Parts: sequence; structure tokens; C-alpha cells
Amino acid sequence: MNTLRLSLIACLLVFSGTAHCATITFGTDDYVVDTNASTFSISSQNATSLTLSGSAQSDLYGSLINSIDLSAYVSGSGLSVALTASTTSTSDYNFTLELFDADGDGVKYTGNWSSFTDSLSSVSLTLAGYDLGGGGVFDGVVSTIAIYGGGSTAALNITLGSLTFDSAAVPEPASCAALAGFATLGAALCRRRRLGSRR
Amino acid sequence: MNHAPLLCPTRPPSFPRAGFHLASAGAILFSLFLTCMDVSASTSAATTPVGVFTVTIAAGTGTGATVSTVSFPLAIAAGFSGAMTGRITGVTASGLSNSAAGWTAGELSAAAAPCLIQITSGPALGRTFLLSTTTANTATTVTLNAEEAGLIDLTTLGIATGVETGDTYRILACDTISSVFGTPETTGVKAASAPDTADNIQILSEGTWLRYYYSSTYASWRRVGPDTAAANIPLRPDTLILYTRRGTTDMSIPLLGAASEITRRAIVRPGGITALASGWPVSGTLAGSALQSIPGWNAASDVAGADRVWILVSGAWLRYYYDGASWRRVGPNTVADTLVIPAGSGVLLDKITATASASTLVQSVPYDL
Repeated sequence: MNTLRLSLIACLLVFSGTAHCATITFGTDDYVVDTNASTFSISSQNATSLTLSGSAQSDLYGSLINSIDLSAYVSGSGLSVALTASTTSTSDYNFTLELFDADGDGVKYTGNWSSFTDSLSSVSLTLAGYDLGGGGVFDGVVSTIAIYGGGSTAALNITLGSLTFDSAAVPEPASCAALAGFATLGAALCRRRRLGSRR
Repeated sequence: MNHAPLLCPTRPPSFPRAGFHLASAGAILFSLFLTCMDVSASTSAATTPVGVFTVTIAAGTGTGATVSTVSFPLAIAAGFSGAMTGRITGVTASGLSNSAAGWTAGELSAAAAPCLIQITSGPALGRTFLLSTTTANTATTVTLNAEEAGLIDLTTLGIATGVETGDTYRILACDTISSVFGTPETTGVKAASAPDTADNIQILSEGTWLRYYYSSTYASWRRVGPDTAAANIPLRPDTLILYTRRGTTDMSIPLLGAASEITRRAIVRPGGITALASGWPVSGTLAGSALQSIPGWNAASDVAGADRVWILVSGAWLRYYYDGASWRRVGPNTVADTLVIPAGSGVLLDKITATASASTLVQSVPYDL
């Protein structure tokens, strides 16, 4: 039984090391707003979040203090992006979130502000395309992140917490091999327990 | 009298040459009536292309609203008594006259059927003004709408006057909210008792966005806020409007009219936002829009010092600035000269510093006739 427990713990440790999951925040530790390129007004920004006021037309453009390499994610069948945010406005308008590489190429996701409540919650965004007008191919190394409103002049106040990138649904071949190996190990242990109990 | 050609929907059209690029099928379609046309390769321009322009407004998502930019690029000749085309014999700061017009007093200034006057020759060629519905026209004189009169002094435009030598004009019908967007039964507009659950129209008026919706309580169009009747609010041909669709199906609105065959001159407000219609029944590019040539337009190598253009692209408001050589997207600074401005849409012009007076956008006809 102890052997089985140790195997499960080892399994968890291996998966936590290979899972494709990364998070950045819109706080001062990660994100710098380009005020010349943004129409949202910054209400406040602390270490982990950014509060903005504007309208459903407003946009936000800023750079990451440390670019994040998502090339392993986007080379697969898709990168899942979840935005943690809150809004105190009643706004049912769509928005677009764009991840740019250094050349202005990127990947685009869409969401709707009505998905968020007045407390921070995480909502998965919908992949909308890769053509952002940079003229090249997105290399997966994200240096800037932008949010573009798609609405009208309705007031919009939002707090942005974090972005989580995840491709856990598309494990790499190495992860698959590890999974298969641990499944085999588990099966062997179970068989051994069954045989042991018969004896 | 040598009048300018009358834009008349019943006039046989000529076939556009290759330079007349029809909008691609999908959101917007401009289709010509092909009767009575001359399709020979050597056809040269003769008459104005007349047809139907269909504006398709994208559906809301059910949980969310979808915003579309909408404009109306076709003109319809007004059908009143008196001279619907003619020569200008007098100009004041806010009025034009034709001593031989023979108009019926008040017929061009009725709130339910607003009219436009378009200058069709001379240095003001292509300027189009909404006529006042509060100051009635006389047999010989029309007065401009107060907003336009506040931006432009007609006496500064170089308009020639005279029975024989005056510049020419034509009177056009102006669309209204009800004439275009109709009722839930005729167009599918989503009505509700409160504006936040209905389709909304936003029109920029004197620098302020005014919002309208179809009230199920009144069974008519109302303005949000004052709750006043809004069916007759005019939709200027040079003005972009924002349509917020909450209904879950696309709306298709076919509009009959004629494509312009003359240069366009549109007013750009001296500061702040101008909601500008794309103006033509064909799509164009940002570089081809001539926006960068508006007098007083601020170009700069950095967006901080540049005027901006807002365009709704694939559901997001993207902004662009002119760096002196190319249009660039605000943020990533990628070149955007070839960005398409679809027919039947438009842009928001954002001037970061006010000029002393309104400017004028001049656009040549983007197709061969």
C-alpha cells in the first residue's frame, strides 16, 4: 500500500512539472501600461491587479516586464487563455484580447464583459485568430498584451487580475509517455495486490 | 439652364467600368440594376449608377450586444415641387437661394421628411448640407441645419451666384431613423420597454453621442434620456452611426438610391470626435481615404502627437495614426495602409488638438463611371 501511495505522489510531482500552465498578472510586477497607446484611464495598479475606467470602446495596450515564451503552447492545437477580472459596470459588450510578439504578430481571443461579476473571477476566452496585421507569423514569445473594446460609449470600469495560459488538454508526447508509464505501473501494482491477497 | 445631373432612382444606369469595385458579398452588397445597361467594353461614363445597397447589421450573441458601424452611401432625389436642381443665386452664412426655385414654403423643411442640399459645381462641389426643419424654406431660400451652420460659413466657400453663372445644386431626401430602421415588423429591430434591452442607435450630434431605441411601450423610436420622439431624427449621409444589436439575428436593410458621381467634401469638426461615413458604395483602404490630407491633420512619428482614426475591425475598436508616410496601428505600430474600410461603414476621427475652425475632407470618386 505504501508503494502505491509513493507512486501516486511521484505521479503528481511529474505532472506538476510538465503541465503547460503559465500565469501573468496585470500588476506592477508584470505589466506596464503604455498610456499613449491606451484610452482606458488607470484608476489604480498594485502588485497583482490593474483597475481601469473608460467605456466599452476603450482599449488597453502595455508590455510585459519579462516576455513570456508560449511557443510550446501555440505550436500545438491550441492555447487556452483565461482572464481573471471583475467589473462593476453593467456592460454586455464584446472585447478582444491580443497577445503580440516583438514584431507585432500575435494571437487574438474574444470575450464578453457580461461574463464577469463584481469580484475577480476567471473566464475562458475564445480563440479568434492569428492575423493581427503584423505581416508575419506569431512566434509565441509574448511581449505585449492589449485589450480592445468592441462596444459603444457605455461606461465600463474593470479590474484585471491575471491571464492564465494553459494547454493541458494537449499534452506533449513526453507527457503522454509518462502517463502511459504510470498507468502501466499502477496496473502492475494493482495486479500484484490482487495476486498477493489470493495467496 | 444647365443643371447638374439629377440623381434619380428611375434613371437608366450605365454599367460601371472595371474600376468600380463592388463590395464583396457578405455584410454589405451594392447591386446595380442591370436593365438598360450598355455592357460593351468601350462604354464610357454617361449616367449615375442606381441600385440597392444592403446593409447587414450583425446579430447580438444572446448574452451580449454586437456593435456595428453603419452609413448610407446612396442618395435619393427629393420629389417636391419647384426646382430640385438649379443654380444658386444668393448665399448667406447659413442660407442658399435660387430666385427661380419656385419651392412651396415649408416643403423642404418638414421634420418628417428632412432634405439635403448638395452643391454640384464650383469650389464647393460635393458639399452636402442638411436643411433646417425649424426654419421653414421659402419659395426661393433654404436654411442650413443649425449644427452645420455652426461649423461652416457658406460665404467662405467661394460659391458663385447668378441666374446664368451660379454654381449648381440638387435637393436630396435625407434618411431618418424610421425610414431606414423601420419597426420590429418591417426590419426586425429589437424593441423593448427599456433601452438597455433593446437595439440602440447612437448618433454623434454636436460632439455628444445621442442614443435611441425602439420603445415597445410607445411603439415608436425614442431618445434615451429625455424620452422624446425620435422617428424623424435625420441620418446624414456623411455621418457614421453606431448600431448596437441585441436581437439574435442579423438585420438586412436594403436601401435604394444612386451612387455619387462627384467629388465628396465632408465636414471635419475642429476638435474631438467626428463620426465620418465611408461615403461610397464601395470599400476603400485607409491610405486611399485621403484622411491624412485633411487640412490641419496632425501626423507624427509617435502616436502621442498624432490625430487618430478609430475603426471597428472584427468586433474591436482599433486606432490608427499617420506618421507622415504611412498609417500605423496604435500599439504595435504595424503599417496599416491597406486596411480596408468597408462600404456602408465609416470611421471615427479623433483630433487631439482643436483647430480654429472645421476642416474639410476631400475625396475623389473612387470608381469610374
